[in-house]
Amino acid sequence: MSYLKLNSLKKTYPNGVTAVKDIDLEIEKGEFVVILGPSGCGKTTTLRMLAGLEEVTNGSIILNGRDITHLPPRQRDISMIFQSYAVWPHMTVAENIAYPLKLRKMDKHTIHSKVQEVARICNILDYLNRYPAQLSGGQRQRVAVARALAVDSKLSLMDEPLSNLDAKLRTSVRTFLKEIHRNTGATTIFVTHDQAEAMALADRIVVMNEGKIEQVGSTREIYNQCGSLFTAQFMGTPPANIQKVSLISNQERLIANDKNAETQFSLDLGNQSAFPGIDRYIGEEIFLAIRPENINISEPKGINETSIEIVEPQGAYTILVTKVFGSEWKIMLEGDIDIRIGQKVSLIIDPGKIMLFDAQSKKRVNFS
Amino acid sequence: MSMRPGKLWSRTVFLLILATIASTVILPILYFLTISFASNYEAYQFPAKIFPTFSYSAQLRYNAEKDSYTLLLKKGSTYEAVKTTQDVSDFSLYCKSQLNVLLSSAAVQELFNKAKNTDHALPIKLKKDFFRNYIVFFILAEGSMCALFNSLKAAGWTILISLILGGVSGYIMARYKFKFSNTFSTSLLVVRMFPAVALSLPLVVYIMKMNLYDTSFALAIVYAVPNIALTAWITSSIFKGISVELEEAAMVFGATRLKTLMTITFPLAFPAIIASSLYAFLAAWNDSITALIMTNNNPTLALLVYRTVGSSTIPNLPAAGAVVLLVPSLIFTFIIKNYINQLWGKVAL
Amino acid sequence: MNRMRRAGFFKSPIWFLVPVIIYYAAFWIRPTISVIIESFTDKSGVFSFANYVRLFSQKSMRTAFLNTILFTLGSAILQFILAFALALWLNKKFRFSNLVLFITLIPMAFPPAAVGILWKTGLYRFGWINSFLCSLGLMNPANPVDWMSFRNLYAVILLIIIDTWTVLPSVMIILLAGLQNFNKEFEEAGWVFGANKFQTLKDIVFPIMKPTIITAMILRMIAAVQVWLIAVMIFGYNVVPFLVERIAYNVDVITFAKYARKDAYTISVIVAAIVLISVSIYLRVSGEKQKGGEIA
Repeated sequence: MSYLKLNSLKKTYPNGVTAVKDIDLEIEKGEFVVILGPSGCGKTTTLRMLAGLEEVTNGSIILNGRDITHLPPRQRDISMIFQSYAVWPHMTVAENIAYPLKLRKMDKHTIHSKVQEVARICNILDYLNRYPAQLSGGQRQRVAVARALAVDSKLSLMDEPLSNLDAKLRTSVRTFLKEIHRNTGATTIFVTHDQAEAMALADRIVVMNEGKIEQVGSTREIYNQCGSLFTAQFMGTPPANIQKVSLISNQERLIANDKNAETQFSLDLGNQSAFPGIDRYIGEEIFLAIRPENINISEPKGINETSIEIVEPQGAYTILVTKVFGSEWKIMLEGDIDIRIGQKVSLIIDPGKIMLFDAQSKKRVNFS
Repeated sequence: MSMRPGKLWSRTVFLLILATIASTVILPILYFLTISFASNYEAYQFPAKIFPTFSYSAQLRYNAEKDSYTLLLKKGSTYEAVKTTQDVSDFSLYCKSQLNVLLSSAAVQELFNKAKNTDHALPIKLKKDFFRNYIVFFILAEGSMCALFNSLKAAGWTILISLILGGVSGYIMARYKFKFSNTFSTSLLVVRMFPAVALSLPLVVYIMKMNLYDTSFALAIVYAVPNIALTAWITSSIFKGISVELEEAAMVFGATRLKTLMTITFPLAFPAIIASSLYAFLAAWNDSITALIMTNNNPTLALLVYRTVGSSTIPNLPAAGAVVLLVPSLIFTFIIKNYINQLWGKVAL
Repeated sequence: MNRMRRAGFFKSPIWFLVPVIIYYAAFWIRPTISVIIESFTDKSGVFSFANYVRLFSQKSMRTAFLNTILFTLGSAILQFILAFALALWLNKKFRFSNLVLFITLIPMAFPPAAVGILWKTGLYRFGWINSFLCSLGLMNPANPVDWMSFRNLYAVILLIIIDTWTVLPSVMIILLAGLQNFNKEFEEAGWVFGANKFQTLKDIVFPIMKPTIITAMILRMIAAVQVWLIAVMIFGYNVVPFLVERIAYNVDVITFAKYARKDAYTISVIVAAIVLISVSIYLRVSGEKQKGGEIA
């Protein structure tokens, strides 16, 4: 039996809005799980139900074999880092860290040494006697982490803790959080809308959309084997190039056409043998998704020909924008590419990296 | 889905609190309104009614042996004799003064005739002049209308003085840090600590010298003293809520400081400034003790109501006056309600 | 350098405060000083404590002093507890919370004179309070209670209740505004880290709300010390003496008595002193530590 189990968890607000519909999730001890999704997808509501800050409409939450569905937050043995940090402004840093320990009736000596310990880990020893108002955002964030760390909780919850930090600080705190997790091995659930954060931190990512789980998997799985069209659209910067196409077979080659576009563009996807079981989709409409980094270019060769419209050099890589099926597709190439606007190129696509999604269910079409 | 027992319990407690609050607020007001519509006769009835009545169920009986008529009013299941008279105008006067029922002599005569021609008591329905108390208080009683105007004038002046002086100080307090800024804002609070009555006494002397005694403007001068402080306090909270960046943006685009104030800051603060001026209105409208000292022949409405309570034994007339006194206060209080966050959100000592 | 500084001085925003300062000098400081001087001089203008000695030798004055303090403490404590509970409850945003807020605010709109009449019509022997109790069967209609015959402590308690009825909303509304600006995550952090509802309230909500609470309570205390109108309207002069009631009595009823003016001035100074002392004690007790800044 897994450490934390969410059984068809559901949340309907009194005004009738259903924020979370049937969430089933199992999490192992020590895992760092990131719930990722756009705003309003129900990820924060799910986390708040885990914390006990939101009443559960239906379903149950089992933590370490104990049903905590209807327990008040204080009886759940959890810790949490809030979006606004919620570092109490009327207490010093030391008091902030010590307060939860006092509530657990620890003796003064233990509390003191515990505060010192976590303050050292979080590098806030110098600020212990300051008030939060005298600290910067990043320092307050560390206090929030220290406070959560001090209580040896069964479950550590983090509600977009990095969203109020500036970009540079965000990466460093990210590394810091990962380091802490490696050292403590605390089971952690981290909610964010930032995929870079999710991919960097997670052992497993849970992608949520419209109150439902779209996909659960490792960073690699989520990124390269998107289970649904939504995940493909959501993950990646820039996101995958997506087009609704109809497939035809032409001399053992799989060709994608856009029925509605006036462009008459057709994309050669490669040998049909690379797509076992594709037969039933021939002549059908299907969603085609290709990540920008999975497209390469060559001198014009007569197939998949298009012209470059915009070049965005990024230093380590270059993003090219071109028109495919009349819409803008992005191509990401390593290094600084010397190319001019208007230049004709042929697109080279690795058939193994092509993702196809059913037009109705929007789920991934699996071959083999 | 079944309700958990804890939920059911909290729901009951919730409804209980709701009922308690509603009844402690609404019941007294309901009784009070009813009293303001009650005739003298009704005001003496016990237990008092909770809702006002519009008419009386009555009987008129002819007493042949004395050639007199007796009016009986329904009380519970029986009828109670309230007036016996032979005289038409006496009967009409009784109806008017004690029952708030307006009957002309001709109408009374007609009733008398009918009663005389029936051998049993004649059942009649007497229709109450519903707003009689209000008419008596405001139109028939001398000076009430004047008092109403005095109250309005005093309130108007108070608003003007408090807004101009208080608003400027509030803006300065919100936008500039100067050497004595803390002293200044604390002293604004201290001003409120000295009872207004105490100020009115020596001020009467100055006011008399300035030839302003017994005027609304003189009242406003006293009312404004604590209100300038309050207005300054509240407006500084409002101005603090308006981002300096908005002002700076206007100045960057070429507006002068004054123009910025008039076109950016003031319109943004306007609704809340109006609300804070309502506090000034209420202070002036509700006061009676300053008016007691500072006026002689031109009392304010609140003072008049206060005086009539002392002089009359039946509370229905002053109650009618108080209801009129209440109307503007009620309206303004509920306008203020919408601004509580802006008014009090950033207030701190 | 010197010139620039001088120009800065004349451009200083302090100049905009001059009209207010003049107003207060004329209509506050001047009368206040003359009141204080009057209270410390005898009829011939010689410095003396005679006014204070004379006043405190009167029994009614001592009672007024005691009653005022009782009333202020009692109403402040009662109103704070009720107002905070109500504000916490209304802040939860339940289905009818707006309607309930509307209803609870109504009494705030009552001018003191209207409050006086409303309760007077209720408190006399055949008033609506007894009518209501009779209709509930809690009282025998043949033998109603005469609430207006209450004296001393009972009368003060009655006045505290009436005062609470009218001013509770104005205290509540300030606290509610404070709660609405209160970051809910502070409270939630308390719950998550092991505090129960009471501990969260005591250790987190109260301390963070302190500036708002202090504001509400000081405004309340200043007003409570100056109670008089409801006492006079319900019981009449001299029945339940309060300090400001004594002032009103001197200027309204015995206007031409020998010491009426002197007494009124002296009591005013006493009232102002009580307000100042109690506010500073309150500030001292409630604000032992001052924290800089506020977190958005």
